[in-house]
Formats: sequence, structure tokens, C-alpha cells
Amino acid sequence: MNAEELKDLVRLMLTWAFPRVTIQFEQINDDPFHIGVGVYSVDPSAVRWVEDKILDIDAEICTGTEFAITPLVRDEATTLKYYPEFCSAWKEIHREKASAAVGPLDACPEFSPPGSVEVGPWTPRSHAVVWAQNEELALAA
Amino acid sequence: MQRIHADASLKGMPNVFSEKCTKTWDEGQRCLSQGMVNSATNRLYYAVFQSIKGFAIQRGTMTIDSSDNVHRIALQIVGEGGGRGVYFRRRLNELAGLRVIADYKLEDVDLEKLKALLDDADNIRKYYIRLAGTQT
Repeated sequence: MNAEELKDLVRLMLTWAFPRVTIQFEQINDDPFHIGVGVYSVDPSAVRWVEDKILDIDAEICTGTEFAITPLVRDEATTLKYYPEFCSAWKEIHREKASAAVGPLDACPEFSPPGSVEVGPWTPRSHAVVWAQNEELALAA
Repeated sequence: MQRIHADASLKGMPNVFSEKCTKTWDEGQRCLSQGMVNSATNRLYYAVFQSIKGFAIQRGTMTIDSSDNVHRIALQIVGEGGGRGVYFRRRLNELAGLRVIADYKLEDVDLEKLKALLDDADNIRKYYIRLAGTQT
């Protein structure tokens, strides 16, 4: 697996679970094998889930390889304030449609109002993590 | 992961970063108590990293001068060894992401996210301090 194949796989897995967010990859610390996964315009209630998903992917795909992926997830407000270029194009299109429409915002057939989250069939916490969290961690007592 | 060289003189010795990483951790805690969340994130991350680097030096997978790709290698090191390693890698990875935000990004680190990682970060740090002293 090379870096581009890994990015494709991560993008596929993320967009399957979270189809309405913008994903950008970046190199961390000039390390070609350490990839930051920037996800933007995430509903605040889903930020933790997206981060967990990226960490799950890192555990499942990158462990035992030279690669590592690190989550860099931003909610809608942070994206709008600091990274407006990464605001979800889908949402912008629908905001424009909605503002021009006669009916209320949620009358737009494909529009999900702020606060709703579409997360797909992914289970947010892996068995490995639950198991590990149950393990005693008081190592330095 | 490539083993660089095993320095026989370091076998069984305490983690060479033990003292410094404790200072770095204390600096991070002071920054945190003063509301300097980005500086706190940087110091707390590096405290953990230093403990892992000290262990890696003893094990021969890093040298004192290692600087290329070391943060990814640190993730690989903590990820070894099954369930505990999986959890450690995950938590260190989260802290690494916050450190990237603290040092390189436009926004501030989320204080609550940092606080949620503190106990595990300290456990990882102390684990590698202790492990270096017992590894042969």
C-alpha cells in the first residue's frame, strides 16, 4: 500500500460513514508516511464520532505498517471562521436553494437542518478500544 | 521499524529523558493552569514524546539526534504489544493531532479535548519512563 492508496481508502471509508463533509489530507511534520486527515464542516454532535472513525481506521489499517493517520476534525463554526474555503459545498448549495425557496428551510427535500447528523451504519466504538479501556491503566502507580 | 543500533551502555539504565520529560510535563501543567492551552498542549505532548524517545534510544530505534519522522515512530512504538498498545497509540494520536493544531493551525486547541487526554498521556509518559529502566 502506498500513500495515495491509503488516502483513497480513508476517503472511501469516511465518505461512506459521513457523506456530507469535506476531507483534506496533509503531511504531518514533513513525514511522507504520517498523514493528517482534515475533516471540515462537521456537525458539532458528530465531531467525536468522526475522530473515533479516523482513529479506528488508523488502528485497523496502519498498525503494523509504516503509515499513521491523525485526525484533524473541525466543526462547522471553526470551519466557517478559520477555513471558509472548506465549508461544505453541498450545504452552501442547499442554503442558497433554501434562501430562494418559498417554503421553510426543511421543506427542501434533500436538506438536513442543522443539528441532524447522518453517520451511516458505522459503530462508533471498536471492540478493541472498549476492551482496552476496560483494561487496567494504572501503570505508573 | 528499523533498529538503528543498540547502545549496550544504556541497557537497564533509567530513561535518559526521565528528568527532562518531568520538567516538560510540569511546564505543560503550569501553562494549562494559566489558560495557555496551545502552549500547554505542546509541552504536554512533548513530555510524552520525550519519554518514548528515551525508551527508543535505549532500545536502539532512535538516537539522541533523531528528528526525522520521530512522531510517527513514537506512534508505532506505543502501538506495539496488543490491547494496551492499541489504546495507547489511539490516545497519543489524539494528543498528536491537538499538538499539530496548537503549533501549526489557525484555531486554538479545544481545552476540554486536552483535559480528557491528560490522565492517559501521563500514564503513557510514566509507563515509558518506567519501562526504559527495566528493559534489557
